[in-house]
Amino acid sequence: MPNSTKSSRPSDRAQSRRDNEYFKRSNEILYLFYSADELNWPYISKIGVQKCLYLSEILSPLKEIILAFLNFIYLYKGPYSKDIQNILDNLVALNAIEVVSFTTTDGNSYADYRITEPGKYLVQHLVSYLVEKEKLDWIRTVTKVIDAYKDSYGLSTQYEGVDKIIDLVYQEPSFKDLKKRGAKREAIPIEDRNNLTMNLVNFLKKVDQRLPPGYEKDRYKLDLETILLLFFEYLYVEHLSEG
Amino acid sequence: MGVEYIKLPIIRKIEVQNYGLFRKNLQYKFQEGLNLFIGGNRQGKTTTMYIILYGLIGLHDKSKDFFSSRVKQENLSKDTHPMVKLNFQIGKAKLEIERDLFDPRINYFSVNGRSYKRADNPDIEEVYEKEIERLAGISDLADYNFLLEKLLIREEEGNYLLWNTDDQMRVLRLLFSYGKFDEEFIRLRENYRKIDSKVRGQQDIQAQFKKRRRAVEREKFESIKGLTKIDPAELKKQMSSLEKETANLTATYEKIVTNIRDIGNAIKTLNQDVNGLSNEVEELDSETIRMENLLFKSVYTDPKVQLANHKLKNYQICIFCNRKIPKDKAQDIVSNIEERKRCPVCDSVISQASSDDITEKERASLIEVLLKKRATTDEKKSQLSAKQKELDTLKKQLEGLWIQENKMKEDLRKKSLETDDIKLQLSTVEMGAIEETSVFDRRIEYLQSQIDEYQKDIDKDKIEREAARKTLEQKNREFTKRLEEIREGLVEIFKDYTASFLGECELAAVPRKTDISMIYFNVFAPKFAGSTRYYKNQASNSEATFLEYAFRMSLCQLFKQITGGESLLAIETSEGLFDIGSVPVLAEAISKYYDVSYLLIISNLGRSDFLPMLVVKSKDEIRSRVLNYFDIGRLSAAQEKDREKFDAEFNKILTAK
Repeated sequence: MPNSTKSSRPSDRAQSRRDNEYFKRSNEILYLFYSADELNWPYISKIGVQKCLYLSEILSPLKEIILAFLNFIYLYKGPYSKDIQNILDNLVALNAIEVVSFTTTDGNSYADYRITEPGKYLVQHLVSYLVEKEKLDWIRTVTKVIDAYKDSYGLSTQYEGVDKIIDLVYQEPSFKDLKKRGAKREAIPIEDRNNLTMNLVNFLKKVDQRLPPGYEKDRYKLDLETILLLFFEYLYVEHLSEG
Repeated sequence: MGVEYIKLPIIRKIEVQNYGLFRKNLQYKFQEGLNLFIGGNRQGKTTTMYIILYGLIGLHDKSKDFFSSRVKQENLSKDTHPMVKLNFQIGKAKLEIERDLFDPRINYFSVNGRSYKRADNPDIEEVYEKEIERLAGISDLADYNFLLEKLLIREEEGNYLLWNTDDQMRVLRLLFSYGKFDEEFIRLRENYRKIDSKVRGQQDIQAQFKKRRRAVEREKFESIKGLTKIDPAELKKQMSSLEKETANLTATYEKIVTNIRDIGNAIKTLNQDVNGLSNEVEELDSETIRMENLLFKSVYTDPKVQLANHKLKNYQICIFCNRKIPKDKAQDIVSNIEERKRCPVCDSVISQASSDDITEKERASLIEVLLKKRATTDEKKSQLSAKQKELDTLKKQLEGLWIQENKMKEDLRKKSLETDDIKLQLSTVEMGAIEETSVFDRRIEYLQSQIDEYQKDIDKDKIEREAARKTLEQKNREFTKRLEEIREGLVEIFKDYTASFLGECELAAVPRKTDISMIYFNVFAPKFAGSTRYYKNQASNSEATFLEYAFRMSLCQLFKQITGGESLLAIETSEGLFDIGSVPVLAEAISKYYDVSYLLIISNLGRSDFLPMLVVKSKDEIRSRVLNYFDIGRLSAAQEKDREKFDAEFNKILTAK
């Protein structure tokens, strides 16, 4: 955890900003584990954490919420942010997250994590601040939708549990675009609110505006969860159609 | 005054990791004397040279995907950072640098054991550049790039330093002048160019006036012949319409000027508002962040979360292995954490629950204040964005007005010239007594006065230009003298390298006119069989290639003699150009060089007899000096098939004595 909290000089301010980002990223990782615990997921793997947070981050403009910026790059196994892994390890050291299993083969490590009681206690304190509560709500919503899709028919059998959504993340437009271009290690344009993902989301959002005359547009206005579900349904259909 | 020469880099070691162009990681230690890179085509030999250059200088003018584009899609290694690590020396300083190959940046570098990491130095590229400039005694890292590209690295189809006047002059200046001579020289040359182009610009305008004067003179001549008549009534009509147009233009112009002033003032006020508001927002933001950090820190350092420390302190239980540890050991660790506020593992400063921390009640009120602060910030932000929009609109308006103002000024100037011209004609006509032709004389007089005005400026600038030229010439003479001083030594070395191939061959100092008129710079050109070869096509391909190697080796050797400075010269040989009889001569000349200095030869075994001849003079075991690309590179199907043949050739090199 960062140390300084007081700011005065510009360099202190910059440090303070960095600390703030670090805290916020930690918070968001905790919210994911908190939401997973509410859904009785036994653990989230290293891969799963990356994919869930990636979806929360790239879809965040939907709720007009600003999450701490995470730099995801395009890797063969899906989007990856090295910050997430480092912060996760720090949270383990703080006893907010615990390691359920840990194995290493050929220099690669595999780990599964879950939130601890002190970790949950910590989240409860954090969300007494409304700004943080909104983030938890958002991540909770995304996690719920992920939960609804994680056991769908036709998802990869080489992964287990929530890791299976990797197949859906592969279909996510911003990622898929980089994949098509073979843009290895390139940053995924998350900050660009006009990226392919947001274009698709905006298309789904405006379904009411495309109704033929005579329809009551208000009745067809979609809520957040429905738009998310539509988005996931798109990813799922794309996956199935790819065979 | 101590003489400060430039210091060149000597590469000691290269490591290339996770780069898909190679099957394996590349690792090679350079040694004094001969170093050999051998391999087939497309196995990455030349790319290794680029990697060395990149390691030292960065991408420079190469595209961002320079290295990734050389790797086939299926060979792009997965999930790993391809990178190059170089160990090198500049003078006595030992340096190490690691750069990412796909993401052009420095990961870290060190100078004499002092290391700089990207994480601690966001501007690490700049720090590196300054360090290199300081250690090498150069004014810009680009100088290094220039020397590496033009002198120290010679690709197979590379450039000819011997016949490129500009490149050779610059290499000579960088190597053999001192005290940042090259920087000063370039500055003086640019200064001369600037004044020269100013003079030329003025001469162009003056030429326009001269042209017009000639036209009027022609008109006068026609008039004398009675072909042109001046009608005062027509002139007056023209004059009054011109005056009207000018008045209209002036009115519009003044309106624009007033508008510009008003908008300028409005922008000034708005700018102040925007600045004030941005400061407020920034203050509010950083205050919010400070308070948020206080809140987060208080949550994260909650005693219930600080289990590890708690367990150690009260139960002496290690959270890693869940075993009891001796009390004094536990106390040591705890005091490290609590008193020194240091991490027991990595000793960096860590955050701890302290007396600054707030109670739960305080936390609640902190949150309340925070939320209020955020609301105020949001309000100020929306005010700021509105003001900024307004400001942008005004700025756009102002820009439009400036364009209009400039155009008006230009139009007014034209009208004023036309008016002057007509006035002159009228006044002459109205004087009556004067002959019609004097109208033309007055116009000619007026144009001449303009021509004279310009001439005055031109004369003044010409004096300045002459002074600049003299200073530049003086500097050039200084360097020509310097070249004369080194010529004898250089020729002696050069003769030694070339004698067995070309007989008596020397380097003649040839004056070359450059783009700066009247100034000649001396460069070297080879002279053999009785004639100086001013151009590359005055020598055969093998002669030109041989001379180029000899010239570069001579320059490096002389540089070492004069300054004591070493460098690594890398030559990708084109031995295929040479006929059977001259291959031993080529091998012998190159052997002479590696006998005294660092040399890297890159060869694709184009001729099987060349390398065994080349290595024979190497004093010790050749195996440790060879990097075999068949071992690390990716082989084509044909190369796989010919592997045995290659191995046999390779063995001939290893066993040559």
